[in-house]
Amino acid sequence: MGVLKQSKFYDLNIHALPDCADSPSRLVLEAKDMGYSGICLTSFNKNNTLHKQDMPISLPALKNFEIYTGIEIRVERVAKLTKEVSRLRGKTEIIIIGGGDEDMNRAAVENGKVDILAHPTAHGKPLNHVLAKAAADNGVAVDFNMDALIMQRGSSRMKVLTAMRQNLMLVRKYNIPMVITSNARSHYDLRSPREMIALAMFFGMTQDEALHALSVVPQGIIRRNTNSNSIMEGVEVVE
Amino acid sequence: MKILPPTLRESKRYLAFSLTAEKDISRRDLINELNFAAATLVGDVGCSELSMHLLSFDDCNGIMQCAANKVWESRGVMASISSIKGVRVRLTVLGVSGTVRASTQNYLLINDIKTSEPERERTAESDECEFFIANNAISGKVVRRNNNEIDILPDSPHYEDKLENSGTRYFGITVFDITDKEIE
Repeated sequence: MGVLKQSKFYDLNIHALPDCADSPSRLVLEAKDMGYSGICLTSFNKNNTLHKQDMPISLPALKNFEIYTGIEIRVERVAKLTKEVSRLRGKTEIIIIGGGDEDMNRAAVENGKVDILAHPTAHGKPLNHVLAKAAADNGVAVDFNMDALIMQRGSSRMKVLTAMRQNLMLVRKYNIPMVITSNARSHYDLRSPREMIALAMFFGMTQDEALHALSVVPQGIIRRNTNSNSIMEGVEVVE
Repeated sequence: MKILPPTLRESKRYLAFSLTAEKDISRRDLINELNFAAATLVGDVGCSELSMHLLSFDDCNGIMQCAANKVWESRGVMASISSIKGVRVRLTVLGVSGTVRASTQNYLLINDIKTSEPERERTAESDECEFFIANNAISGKVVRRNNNEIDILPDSPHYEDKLENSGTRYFGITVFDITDKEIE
Protein backbone atom coordinates (compact mmCIF):
# COMPACT_ATOMS: atom_id res chain seq x y z
CA MET A 1 0.00 0.00 0.00
CA GLY A 2 2.96 2.27 0.50
CA VAL A 3 3.53 2.41 -3.25
CA LEU A 4 -0.12 3.30 -3.82
CA LYS A 5 0.11 6.24 -1.47
CA GLN A 6 3.23 7.69 -3.10
CA SER A 7 2.13 7.29 -6.70
CA LYS A 8 0.77 10.10 -8.84
CA PHE A 9 -2.32 9.10 -10.77
CA TYR A 10 -3.57 10.43 -14.08
CA ASP A 11 -6.80 9.95 -15.97
CA LEU A 12 -6.21 10.83 -19.60
CA ASN A 13 -9.68 10.58 -21.12
CA ILE A 14 -12.35 12.75 -19.53
CA HIS A 15 -14.99 14.59 -21.52
CA ALA A 16 -16.11 18.03 -20.39
CA LEU A 17 -18.82 20.47 -21.24
CA PRO A 18 -18.89 21.45 -24.89
CA ASP A 19 -19.61 17.77 -25.58
CA CYS A 20 -20.96 16.46 -22.31
CA ALA A 21 -22.71 17.70 -19.21
CA ASP A 22 -20.05 18.78 -16.73
CA SER A 23 -17.88 21.86 -16.76
CA PRO A 24 -14.09 21.44 -16.75
CA SER A 25 -13.77 22.98 -13.30
CA ARG A 26 -16.32 20.56 -11.81
CA LEU A 27 -14.50 17.54 -13.21
CA VAL A 28 -11.15 18.90 -12.10
CA LEU A 29 -12.34 19.47 -8.53
CA GLU A 30 -13.94 16.03 -8.33
CA ALA A 31 -10.83 14.38 -9.75
CA LYS A 32 -8.63 16.20 -7.29
CA ASP A 33 -10.82 15.09 -4.39
CA MET A 34 -10.48 11.51 -5.59
CA GLY A 35 -6.71 11.61 -5.44
CA TYR A 36 -5.63 12.22 -9.02
CA SER A 37 -2.56 14.34 -9.70
CA GLY A 38 -3.70 15.36 -13.14
CA ILE A 39 -6.32 14.78 -15.79
CA CYS A 40 -6.59 15.26 -19.51
CA LEU A 41 -9.81 16.83 -20.75
CA THR A 42 -10.46 15.51 -24.23
CA SER A 43 -12.87 17.07 -26.62
CA PHE A 44 -14.60 15.39 -29.58
CA ASN A 45 -14.54 18.61 -31.52
CA LYS A 46 -11.66 18.56 -33.97
CA ASN A 47 -11.35 22.33 -33.90
CA ASN A 48 -10.59 22.06 -30.20
CA THR A 49 -13.12 24.35 -28.55
CA LEU A 50 -11.63 23.43 -25.20
CA HIS A 51 -9.10 26.19 -24.73
CA LYS A 52 -6.75 26.84 -21.91
CA GLN A 53 -8.67 29.95 -20.84
CA ASP A 54 -11.72 27.84 -20.07
CA MET A 55 -9.56 25.84 -17.69
CA PRO A 56 -9.73 26.65 -14.02
CA ILE A 57 -5.98 26.90 -13.72
CA SER A 58 -5.98 29.96 -11.48
CA LEU A 59 -7.98 28.39 -8.66
CA PRO A 60 -6.11 28.44 -5.36
CA ALA A 61 -7.38 24.96 -4.55
CA LEU A 62 -5.71 23.58 -7.64
CA LYS A 63 -2.07 24.10 -6.94
CA ASN A 64 0.00 21.12 -8.00
CA PHE A 65 -2.84 19.78 -10.12
CA GLU A 66 -2.03 19.24 -13.76
CA ILE A 67 -4.62 19.84 -16.46
CA TYR A 68 -4.00 18.84 -20.05
CA THR A 69 -6.13 19.20 -23.13
CA GLY A 70 -6.56 16.59 -25.79
CA ILE A 71 -8.71 15.50 -28.66
CA GLU A 72 -10.55 12.24 -29.05
CA ILE A 73 -10.75 11.80 -32.80
CA ARG A 74 -13.79 9.97 -34.08
CA VAL A 75 -14.07 9.75 -37.81
CA GLU A 76 -16.18 7.59 -40.06
CA ARG A 77 -13.51 6.89 -42.63
CA VAL A 78 -9.99 5.76 -41.98
CA ALA A 79 -8.55 7.92 -44.77
CA LYS A 80 -9.51 11.06 -42.85
CA LEU A 81 -7.83 9.88 -39.69
CA THR A 82 -4.20 10.23 -40.79
CA LYS A 83 -4.89 13.74 -42.04
CA GLU A 84 -6.56 14.79 -38.82
CA VAL A 85 -3.77 13.36 -36.69
CA SER A 86 -1.02 15.18 -38.60
CA ARG A 87 -3.02 18.41 -38.45
CA LEU A 88 -3.64 18.20 -34.71
CA ARG A 89 -0.21 17.01 -33.63
CA GLY A 90 1.46 20.01 -32.02
CA LYS A 91 -1.81 21.87 -31.59
CA THR A 92 -3.06 19.74 -28.74
CA GLU A 93 -1.26 17.92 -26.01
CA ILE A 94 -2.69 14.43 -26.22
CA ILE A 95 -4.21 12.74 -29.25
CA ILE A 96 -6.62 9.90 -28.63
CA ILE A 97 -8.33 7.81 -31.26
CA GLY A 98 -11.78 6.52 -30.43
CA GLY A 99 -11.47 2.93 -31.59
CA GLY A 100 -13.76 -0.06 -31.55
CA ASP A 101 -14.06 -0.68 -35.25
CA GLU A 102 -11.37 -3.04 -36.52
CA ASP A 103 -10.27 -0.72 -39.35
CA MET A 104 -10.09 2.20 -36.96
CA ASN A 105 -8.06 0.23 -34.43
CA ARG A 106 -5.65 -0.72 -37.16
CA ALA A 107 -5.25 2.82 -38.49
CA ALA A 108 -4.65 4.08 -34.95
CA VAL A 109 -1.99 1.58 -33.92
CA GLU A 110 -0.14 1.99 -37.23
CA ASN A 111 0.24 5.73 -36.74
CA GLY A 112 3.16 6.70 -34.53
CA LYS A 113 1.71 10.17 -33.90
CA VAL A 114 -1.22 8.76 -31.95
CA ASP A 115 -0.82 8.62 -28.19
CA ILE A 116 -3.67 6.41 -27.06
CA LEU A 117 -6.10 4.05 -28.75
CA ALA A 118 -9.21 4.51 -26.61
CA HIS A 119 -11.88 1.88 -26.03
CA PRO A 120 -10.57 -0.64 -28.58
CA THR A 121 -13.06 -3.15 -27.19
CA ALA A 122 -16.13 -0.97 -27.76
CA HIS A 123 -17.64 -3.45 -30.20
CA GLY A 124 -16.76 -6.39 -27.98
CA LYS A 125 -13.89 -7.50 -30.24
CA PRO A 126 -10.34 -7.84 -28.93
CA LEU A 127 -7.16 -6.79 -30.70
CA ASN A 128 -5.15 -9.42 -32.55
CA HIS A 129 -1.44 -10.20 -32.75
CA VAL A 130 -0.91 -8.05 -35.87
CA LEU A 131 -2.40 -4.95 -34.26
CA ALA A 132 -0.59 -5.68 -31.01
CA LYS A 133 2.77 -5.81 -32.77
CA ALA A 134 2.05 -2.57 -34.61
CA ALA A 135 1.05 -0.88 -31.35
CA ALA A 136 4.27 -2.01 -29.71
CA ASP A 137 6.38 -0.81 -32.66
CA ASN A 138 4.72 2.61 -32.83
CA GLY A 139 4.40 3.13 -29.08
CA VAL A 140 0.65 3.61 -29.18
CA ALA A 141 -0.81 2.99 -25.73
CA VAL A 142 -3.79 0.67 -25.52
CA ASP A 143 -6.58 1.90 -23.30
CA PHE A 144 -8.69 -0.15 -20.91
CA ASN A 145 -11.80 1.96 -20.43
CA MET A 146 -13.55 1.35 -17.16
CA ASP A 147 -16.82 2.98 -18.19
CA ALA A 148 -17.61 -0.19 -20.11
CA LEU A 149 -17.59 -2.17 -16.86
CA ILE A 150 -19.53 0.52 -15.01
CA MET A 151 -22.26 1.33 -17.50
CA GLN A 152 -22.94 -2.03 -19.07
CA ARG A 153 -24.60 -5.10 -17.63
CA GLY A 154 -25.06 -8.68 -18.71
CA SER A 155 -23.86 -10.13 -21.97
CA SER A 156 -22.41 -6.91 -23.38
CA ARG A 157 -20.22 -6.48 -20.31
CA MET A 158 -19.26 -10.14 -20.51
CA LYS A 159 -18.05 -9.61 -24.09
CA VAL A 160 -16.07 -6.52 -23.09
CA LEU A 161 -14.46 -8.38 -20.18
CA THR A 162 -13.46 -11.25 -22.45
CA ALA A 163 -12.01 -8.84 -25.01
CA MET A 164 -10.11 -6.96 -22.31
CA ARG A 165 -8.69 -10.21 -20.99
CA GLN A 166 -7.34 -11.04 -24.44
CA ASN A 167 -6.00 -7.50 -24.89
CA LEU A 168 -4.22 -7.86 -21.58
CA MET A 169 -2.63 -11.10 -22.73
CA LEU A 170 -1.38 -9.35 -25.90
CA VAL A 171 -0.18 -6.35 -23.91
CA ARG A 172 1.90 -8.65 -21.71
CA LYS A 173 3.29 -10.65 -24.61
CA TYR A 174 4.25 -7.75 -26.89
CA ASN A 175 5.06 -5.29 -24.11
CA ILE A 176 2.64 -2.62 -25.29
CA PRO A 177 2.17 0.47 -23.08
CA MET A 178 -1.28 0.38 -21.51
CA VAL A 179 -3.36 3.01 -19.77
CA ILE A 180 -6.51 2.77 -17.70
CA THR A 181 -8.93 5.63 -18.26
CA SER A 182 -12.43 6.34 -17.07
CA ASN A 183 -13.69 7.74 -20.41
CA ALA A 184 -15.99 9.79 -18.16
CA ARG A 185 -18.82 11.82 -19.61
CA SER A 186 -19.88 13.29 -16.28
CA HIS A 187 -18.54 13.31 -12.75
CA TYR A 188 -20.74 10.31 -11.99
CA ASP A 189 -18.46 8.25 -14.26
CA LEU A 190 -15.26 9.20 -12.48
CA ARG A 191 -13.74 6.59 -10.21
CA SER A 192 -10.89 7.01 -7.78
CA PRO A 193 -7.55 5.34 -8.64
CA ARG A 194 -8.06 2.49 -6.18
CA GLU A 195 -11.48 1.74 -7.58
CA MET A 196 -10.04 1.72 -11.09
CA ILE A 197 -7.50 -0.83 -9.89
CA ALA A 198 -10.25 -2.90 -8.26
CA LEU A 199 -12.25 -2.90 -11.50
CA ALA A 200 -9.17 -3.76 -13.57
CA MET A 201 -8.56 -6.76 -11.33
CA PHE A 202 -11.84 -8.27 -12.55
CA PHE A 203 -10.32 -9.10 -15.92
CA GLY A 204 -7.09 -10.46 -14.56
CA MET A 205 -4.86 -7.41 -14.30
CA THR A 206 -2.54 -7.50 -11.33
CA GLN A 207 -2.34 -4.61 -8.90
CA ASP A 208 1.17 -3.67 -10.04
CA GLU A 209 0.16 -3.60 -13.70
CA ALA A 210 -2.87 -1.46 -12.93
CA LEU A 211 -0.73 0.92 -10.89
CA HIS A 212 1.70 1.16 -13.78
CA ALA A 213 -1.13 1.86 -16.21
CA LEU A 214 -2.55 4.62 -14.01
CA SER A 215 0.64 6.44 -13.15
CA VAL A 216 3.87 5.55 -14.98
CA VAL A 217 2.56 5.19 -18.54
CA PRO A 218 0.40 8.37 -18.49
CA GLN A 219 3.34 10.30 -17.04
CA GLY A 220 5.49 9.06 -19.91
CA ILE A 221 2.92 10.17 -22.49
CA ILE A 222 2.61 13.59 -20.88
CA ARG A 223 6.37 14.07 -20.66
CA ARG A 224 6.81 13.07 -24.29
CA ASN A 225 4.20 15.56 -25.49
CA THR A 226 4.91 18.54 -23.29
CA ASN A 227 8.69 18.38 -23.41
CA SER A 228 9.77 21.42 -25.45
CA ASN A 229 13.25 20.00 -25.97
CA SER A 230 12.09 17.06 -28.00
CA ILE A 231 12.39 17.49 -31.76
CA MET A 232 10.85 14.28 -32.98
CA GLU A 233 10.26 10.74 -31.81
CA GLY A 234 13.46 9.66 -30.02
CA VAL A 235 15.39 12.89 -30.71
CA GLU A 236 15.72 15.48 -28.01
CA VAL A 237 17.92 18.48 -27.18
CA VAL A 238 20.11 17.73 -24.18
CA GLU A 239 21.55 20.56 -22.09
CA MET B 1 -28.14 -21.29 19.67
CA LYS B 2 -24.69 -20.08 20.69
CA ILE B 3 -22.88 -17.49 18.57
CA LEU B 4 -19.31 -18.25 17.49
CA PRO B 5 -16.49 -17.09 19.78
CA PRO B 6 -14.55 -14.12 18.35
CA THR B 7 -11.46 -16.18 17.48
CA LEU B 8 -13.47 -18.45 15.21
CA ARG B 9 -15.35 -15.69 13.44
CA GLU B 10 -14.50 -14.74 9.91
CA SER B 11 -12.22 -11.72 9.76
CA LYS B 12 -13.89 -8.59 8.42
CA ARG B 13 -13.11 -5.17 7.01
CA TYR B 14 -15.23 -2.04 7.11
CA LEU B 15 -15.38 0.28 4.13
CA ALA B 16 -16.45 3.84 4.79
CA PHE B 17 -18.03 5.26 1.64
CA SER B 18 -19.78 8.34 0.41
CA LEU B 19 -22.62 8.46 -2.10
CA THR B 20 -23.00 11.23 -4.66
CA ALA B 21 -26.41 11.23 -6.28
CA GLU B 22 -28.76 13.39 -8.29
CA LYS B 23 -31.58 12.84 -5.80
CA ASP B 24 -31.89 11.39 -2.33
CA ILE B 25 -31.46 7.65 -2.26
CA SER B 26 -33.26 5.47 0.29
CA ARG B 27 -31.43 2.81 2.23
CA ARG B 28 -33.63 0.08 0.77
CA ASP B 29 -32.87 1.09 -2.83
CA LEU B 30 -29.15 1.21 -2.14
CA ILE B 31 -29.17 -2.29 -0.64
CA ASN B 32 -31.16 -3.65 -3.58
CA GLU B 33 -28.78 -2.09 -6.09
CA LEU B 34 -25.71 -3.35 -4.19
CA ASN B 35 -27.12 -6.88 -4.18
CA PHE B 36 -27.97 -6.66 -7.85
CA ALA B 37 -24.54 -5.27 -8.76
CA ALA B 38 -22.77 -8.00 -6.79
CA ALA B 39 -24.97 -10.70 -8.30
CA THR B 40 -24.35 -9.55 -11.89
CA LEU B 41 -20.63 -8.96 -11.42
CA VAL B 42 -19.49 -11.90 -9.29
CA GLY B 43 -22.54 -14.18 -9.16
CA ASP B 44 -24.00 -16.12 -6.25
CA VAL B 45 -20.74 -17.87 -5.36
CA GLY B 46 -18.83 -14.60 -5.34
CA CYS B 47 -21.53 -12.89 -3.27
CA SER B 48 -21.27 -15.54 -0.58
CA GLU B 49 -17.49 -15.12 -0.47
CA LEU B 50 -17.64 -11.33 -0.29
CA SER B 51 -20.31 -11.39 2.47
CA MET B 52 -21.08 -7.73 1.93
CA HIS B 53 -23.48 -6.06 4.35
CA LEU B 54 -24.56 -2.47 4.57
CA LEU B 55 -24.17 -1.60 8.25
CA SER B 56 -25.19 2.02 8.30
CA PHE B 57 -26.26 4.55 5.74
CA ASP B 58 -27.67 7.97 6.29
CA ASP B 59 -27.73 11.06 4.12
CA CYS B 60 -24.75 10.33 1.88
CA ASN B 61 -22.24 8.43 3.99
CA GLY B 62 -22.25 4.85 5.10
CA ILE B 63 -20.27 1.84 6.24
CA MET B 64 -20.07 -1.42 4.40
CA GLN B 65 -18.87 -4.70 5.89
CA CYS B 66 -17.02 -7.25 3.79
CA ALA B 67 -14.69 -10.24 4.17
CA ALA B 68 -11.11 -9.23 5.01
CA ASN B 69 -9.54 -11.02 2.04
CA LYS B 70 -12.07 -9.66 -0.47
CA VAL B 71 -11.66 -5.92 -0.02
CA TRP B 72 -10.63 -5.26 -3.64
CA GLU B 73 -13.50 -7.27 -5.04
CA SER B 74 -15.96 -5.45 -2.78
CA ARG B 75 -14.55 -2.13 -3.93
CA GLY B 76 -15.01 -3.23 -7.52
CA VAL B 77 -18.63 -4.17 -6.90
CA MET B 78 -19.30 -0.80 -5.30
CA ALA B 79 -17.51 1.00 -8.14
CA SER B 80 -19.59 -0.80 -10.75
CA ILE B 81 -22.80 0.92 -9.63
CA SER B 82 -23.74 3.73 -12.00
CA SER B 83 -27.40 4.37 -11.26
CA ILE B 84 -30.10 3.46 -8.75
CA LYS B 85 -33.66 3.40 -10.09
CA GLY B 86 -32.67 5.66 -12.96
CA VAL B 87 -30.90 8.19 -10.74
CA ARG B 88 -27.21 8.63 -11.48
CA VAL B 89 -25.03 7.84 -8.47
CA ARG B 90 -21.39 7.35 -7.62
CA LEU B 91 -20.06 5.42 -4.64
CA THR B 92 -16.62 6.42 -3.46
CA VAL B 93 -14.76 4.39 -0.87
CA LEU B 94 -13.19 6.80 1.61
CA GLY B 95 -11.14 4.23 3.45
CA VAL B 96 -10.87 0.73 4.83
CA SER B 97 -10.62 -0.14 8.52
CA GLY B 98 -10.61 -3.17 10.75
CA THR B 99 -13.28 -1.85 13.10
CA VAL B 100 -16.45 0.16 12.75
CA ARG B 101 -15.19 2.72 15.23
CA ALA B 102 -11.95 3.34 13.37
CA SER B 103 -13.70 3.72 10.01
CA THR B 104 -16.18 6.19 11.51
CA GLN B 105 -13.54 8.25 13.26
CA ASN B 106 -10.89 8.21 10.56
CA TYR B 107 -12.98 8.65 7.45
CA LEU B 108 -16.57 9.72 8.05
CA LEU B 109 -16.07 12.40 10.70
CA ILE B 110 -13.04 13.91 8.98
CA ASN B 111 -14.91 14.11 5.70
CA ASP B 112 -17.46 16.52 7.20
CA ILE B 113 -14.77 18.89 8.31
CA LYS B 114 -12.98 18.79 4.98
CA THR B 115 -15.95 19.62 2.77
CA SER B 116 -17.25 22.50 4.87
CA GLU B 117 -14.30 24.70 3.97
CA PRO B 118 -15.69 27.77 2.20
CA GLU B 119 -13.95 29.01 -0.94
CA ARG B 120 -15.87 32.19 -1.61
CA GLU B 121 -18.41 34.22 0.33
CA ARG B 122 -21.93 34.32 -0.90
CA THR B 123 -23.61 37.70 -1.03
CA ALA B 124 -27.11 36.66 -2.00
CA GLU B 125 -29.10 33.54 -2.76
CA SER B 126 -30.65 33.02 -6.14
CA ASP B 127 -32.13 30.10 -8.03
CA GLU B 128 -31.28 31.36 -11.49
CA CYS B 129 -27.78 31.49 -12.84
CA GLU B 130 -25.89 31.73 -16.08
CA PHE B 131 -22.51 30.49 -17.20
CA PHE B 132 -20.37 30.52 -20.31
CA ILE B 133 -18.69 27.55 -21.90
CA ALA B 134 -16.84 27.97 -25.19
CA ASN B 135 -18.64 31.29 -25.82
CA ASN B 136 -22.07 29.76 -25.32
CA ALA B 137 -24.22 31.15 -22.55
CA ILE B 138 -26.22 28.52 -20.72
CA SER B 139 -28.80 29.64 -18.20
CA GLY B 140 -30.69 27.47 -15.82
CA LYS B 141 -32.09 26.82 -12.41
CA VAL B 142 -29.94 25.70 -9.51
CA VAL B 143 -31.17 22.30 -8.37
CA ARG B 144 -28.64 21.43 -5.72
CA ARG B 145 -25.65 23.09 -4.22
CA ASN B 146 -22.87 21.52 -2.21
CA ASN B 147 -20.22 24.10 -1.36
CA ASN B 148 -18.59 24.95 -4.68
CA GLU B 149 -20.42 22.34 -6.68
CA ILE B 150 -23.69 23.23 -8.33
CA ASP B 151 -26.14 21.15 -10.34
CA ILE B 152 -28.11 23.08 -12.92
CA LEU B 153 -31.27 22.26 -14.84
CA PRO B 154 -31.03 24.17 -18.13
CA ASP B 155 -33.96 26.37 -19.18
CA SER B 156 -33.91 25.68 -22.89
CA PRO B 157 -34.38 22.15 -24.26
CA HIS B 158 -31.59 22.89 -26.73
CA TYR B 159 -29.04 21.21 -24.46
CA GLU B 160 -30.86 17.95 -23.96
CA ASP B 161 -28.59 16.11 -26.36
CA LYS B 162 -25.58 16.93 -24.20
CA LEU B 163 -27.32 15.64 -21.10
CA GLU B 164 -28.44 12.56 -23.01
CA ASN B 165 -24.86 12.04 -24.14
CA SER B 166 -23.76 11.94 -20.51
CA GLY B 167 -26.82 10.14 -19.17
CA THR B 168 -27.40 12.78 -16.52
CA ARG B 169 -30.28 15.12 -15.71
CA TYR B 170 -28.37 18.21 -14.71
CA PHE B 171 -25.31 20.16 -15.75
CA GLY B 172 -22.59 19.90 -13.15
CA ILE B 173 -20.67 23.14 -12.73
CA THR B 174 -18.87 24.98 -9.97
CA VAL B 175 -19.13 28.50 -8.58
CA PHE B 176 -16.00 29.37 -10.54
CA ASP B 177 -17.86 28.97 -13.84
CA ILE B 178 -20.56 31.47 -13.04
CA THR B 179 -19.91 34.73 -14.81
CA ASP B 180 -22.25 37.00 -12.87
CA LYS B 181 -20.65 36.86 -9.47
CA GLU B 182 -23.09 39.31 -7.87
CA ILE B 183 -25.95 36.83 -8.18
CA GLU B 184 -24.01 34.17 -6.41
